Amino acid sequence: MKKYLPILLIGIISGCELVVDVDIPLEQSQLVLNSFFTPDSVWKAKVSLSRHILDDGPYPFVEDAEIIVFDGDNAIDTLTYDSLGYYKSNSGGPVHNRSYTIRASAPGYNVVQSTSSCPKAVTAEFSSLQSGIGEYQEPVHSFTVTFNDAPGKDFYQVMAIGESRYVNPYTGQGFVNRFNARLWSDDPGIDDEEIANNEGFFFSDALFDGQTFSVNVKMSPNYWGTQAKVKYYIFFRLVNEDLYRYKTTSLLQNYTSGDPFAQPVKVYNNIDNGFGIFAGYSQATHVYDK
Amino acid sequence: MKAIYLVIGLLAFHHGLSQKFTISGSVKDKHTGENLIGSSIYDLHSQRGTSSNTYGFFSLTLAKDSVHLRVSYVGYEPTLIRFVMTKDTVINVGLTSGTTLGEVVISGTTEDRIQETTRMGTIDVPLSQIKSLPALMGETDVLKVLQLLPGVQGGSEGSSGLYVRGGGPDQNLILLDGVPVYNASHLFGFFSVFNADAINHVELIKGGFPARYGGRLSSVIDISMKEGNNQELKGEGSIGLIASRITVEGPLIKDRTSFIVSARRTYIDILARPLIKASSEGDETAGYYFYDLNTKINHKINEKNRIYLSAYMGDDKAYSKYKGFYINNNERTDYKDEFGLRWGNISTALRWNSIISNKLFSNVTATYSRYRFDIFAESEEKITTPSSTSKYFYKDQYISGIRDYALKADFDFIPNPSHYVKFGAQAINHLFTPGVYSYRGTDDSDTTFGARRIYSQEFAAYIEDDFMISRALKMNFGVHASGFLVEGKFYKSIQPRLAARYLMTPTLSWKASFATMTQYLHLLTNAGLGLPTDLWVPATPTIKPEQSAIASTGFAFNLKNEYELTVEGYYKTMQNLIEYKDGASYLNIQDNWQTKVEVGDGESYGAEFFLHKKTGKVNGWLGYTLSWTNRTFPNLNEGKTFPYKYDRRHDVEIAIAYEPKPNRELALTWVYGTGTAISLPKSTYEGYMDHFDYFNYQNNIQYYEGRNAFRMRAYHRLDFSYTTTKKTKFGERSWTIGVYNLYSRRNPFFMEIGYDRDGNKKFIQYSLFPIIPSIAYRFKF
Repeated sequence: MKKYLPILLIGIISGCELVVDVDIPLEQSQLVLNSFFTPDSVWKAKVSLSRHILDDGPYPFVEDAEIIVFDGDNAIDTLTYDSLGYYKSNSGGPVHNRSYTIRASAPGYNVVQSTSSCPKAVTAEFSSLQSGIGEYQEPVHSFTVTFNDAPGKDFYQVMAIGESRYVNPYTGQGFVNRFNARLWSDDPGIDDEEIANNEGFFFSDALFDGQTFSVNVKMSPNYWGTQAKVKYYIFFRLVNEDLYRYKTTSLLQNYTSGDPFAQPVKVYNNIDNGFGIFAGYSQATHVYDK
Repeated sequence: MKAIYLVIGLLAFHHGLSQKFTISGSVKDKHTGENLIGSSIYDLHSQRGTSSNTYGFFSLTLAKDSVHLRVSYVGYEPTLIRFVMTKDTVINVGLTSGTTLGEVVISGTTEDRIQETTRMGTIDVPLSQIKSLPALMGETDVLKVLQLLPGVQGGSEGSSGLYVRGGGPDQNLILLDGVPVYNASHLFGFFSVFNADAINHVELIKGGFPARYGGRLSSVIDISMKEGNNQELKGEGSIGLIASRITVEGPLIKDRTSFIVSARRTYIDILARPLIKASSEGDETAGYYFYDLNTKINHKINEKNRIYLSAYMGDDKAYSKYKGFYINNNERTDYKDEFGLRWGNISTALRWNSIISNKLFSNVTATYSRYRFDIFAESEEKITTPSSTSKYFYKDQYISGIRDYALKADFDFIPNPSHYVKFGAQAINHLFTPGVYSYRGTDDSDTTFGARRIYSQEFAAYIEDDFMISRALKMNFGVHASGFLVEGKFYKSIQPRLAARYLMTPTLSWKASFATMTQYLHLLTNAGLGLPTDLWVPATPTIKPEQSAIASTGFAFNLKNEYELTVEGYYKTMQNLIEYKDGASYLNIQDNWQTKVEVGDGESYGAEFFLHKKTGKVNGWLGYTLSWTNRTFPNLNEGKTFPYKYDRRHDVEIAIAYEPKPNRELALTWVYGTGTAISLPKSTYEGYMDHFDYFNYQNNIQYYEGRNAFRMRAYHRLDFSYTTTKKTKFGERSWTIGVYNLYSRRNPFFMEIGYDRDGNKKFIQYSLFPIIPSIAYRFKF
């Protein structure tokens, strides 16, 4: 029996972890077309390639794509390549309350396209900035954004970018430090707040449909070295449903990755024959110079 | 006047010819007094028969005539009784068990043969067969044996969960002596709570539900505890690798009052405790154990009345404690940390059986049951200086549970051999505590998150009749009506039930059934492990009760009274099922559960093949299931239908026990199942943000083609055991050597993306149990 004992123990100790080949077909990469559009800006888009789940490395840019924007059946713009997979219009951008179609093609890949709409213009009133100290002695500012919500489903985003200016005491040279401020809201008037670290937060009008609403916003520099005077650029956005669904599902996928007890999240995708997002927003901005 | 006398005389003669009397009584084991549930009582003369109910009671009304009764039960020697019946008669029959009675040829047909009954999708596995099959670590497990039946799957590797005909683990009504058991698992689902030594009878119903059952969609597992030997003091027990158990039963008053006590406990913690203490210089202790305790007392008040008091109590407990101190300058700090995890069931029943007449039997039961899960972490620190003492502590605690009080009355009315009527009613008062997290610290007042307590009341009434329309055609039809009151909302449901069999030949019948079911409870689970953290929650005004309809048809064939063969096809629809939303995690306990679920529908269809030999030197079964199970949720998977996690196209089970000699037994089981459906990302692409990003954060988006679109590797496993038994001075002893997963198949438990030894990105599959040998010692006295 003794001579069989090691064999038995090896058998017991061995299996628990096994590298397996899962039959996930090695399909050709697809075009990934990403574009957010707003009347404040010209058309721009980024085109890259998807990769197999077991591939590593950066996503390849596509530099030879043809990207055309349509208003109905009329081609209104052709984007030209800029750099790092980005394409831009040389002249125009969208207007409010219109739907647009974008089509991208590149040699060797399926033609991809998507249609989405640009929301109506949005206006908002911003309160003065109140400053305080947070739980961990970090600066926490608060302000209120008041806006008129139209009847029907609408979606919003509030985000902020901070800008501080420094002067090097040794060289006397000045420089600008920009950072994404961390935003959140404890307002009970919004019930499905989705926080995106670098993109503020998203919410729907489920609890205030068709009303004038004021949302309380908390803001922290999210940059621990910031002690100097800071200028905050606040962006209040009316985003369309495509953008809202894309952002909330991709944030949720990112947030739950690594949790073995969480159900996998399928990220919203409105690009036919490919991946990505084509979505519009309109925005109101405000600057707090603190 | 003569004519009048003549008419009266003819009527009296006719009445004499058609006069009927009733034979009633009970069928029990001759030596232990245990009820033989479902035994057959058959009159060979009139070819009429019946079967005994859960309490051994039977009633058979026959015409005044000579009677030739045969009383039989699987694994027992049949008894023949002849007499001329001139009045209502009470017969209490005692049968003698045998070990190889399967070789005894029983001629003719009896009432309870597979082809004769209207029951469909119903399997009862003899306890002796359950005990003879190989078991994980030598621990005989009733639910794991039920997993070896067609139409039933076990979920994750090693789990004792049951997924019946596409239903979830919450859709099984698990009854222990008529009391629902909510979480029937020990050791994170690897063992069930049922101690086989304390069990008398197990029946699984997968479809064609009789009207007396309700409250769950997919199955009924009706487990009856032993009543206790009313003749002499007896005992049995076992010593295994992880647990030991002992059962003692006997008469308190012979033939009148008996008891049974059965206990089981694991002892890894006891063995490990000294080692942990020694290695930590006495500062630390940790361990895990589970135990269960079954007790029952039954008392015969008189020949017509009997009362029972039964109780089950079981707990799992994991714990660790650590304490110590250190001195810094003149300051002494004492610290103590404790962690605990505990869950368990209590169920009790007080039952009163009464033979109201020789055709009417009643059973009134009052029950209490409770399932509770409790996890806590506590830390305490005491700082003592020459001038002061200060204390700091915090405690996190998470509690969930369900508690029921119930009262029910069931009646069996057998007016004649063509009808067997059952009717009754029940009321349950539920209290749900679906996950409450609290935090308490030195400087904080109590903080509580999660759902509050929910009270609800459930009501049900039913009536059914097993109606012999003709020798060939028999039907069981009935209706189950139920209602549920929760937070001011009242749900009600009328559930028709129908089952029929048509005898095509004396040994072959065609069967069909239809049943609708309503379930007022949901189980929130997403690990499929039978974890104690699974939450039982009620239907609420916003989350409706689950409903199902199942239709099935098939054939039942009896070959030489030795082999039973059934082939059944079924189609089941389910509505108002709940699933976690995309991204929802039950680790996020601060959210109300109602915000984390989606509601949708399901369907399951397939065919099952089952060949069963219950007795004989070689006995066992062969099962095969071909099935499809899908779910459709408007807000999941873009509204597209997706496979259920436990959708299994092919499922094969072989269970064989062979007894070459009376004191030797070999047994093996082999199972094969199509791989579990899982969601895996197929490709990945770049996420997008169109503005300045200080962190230059790149969001990788993983593309899932669909929910559960991929399959893990197929599951298969061979288990083996060998038992040798010997008579001893005290009674009997046996040794069982077993091997679980004989060829050490690495069956998948879960998968994730990782890297192999060469640094290549791969899917890594984790499995739980390789080959596991076991040895167990059993004894009887």
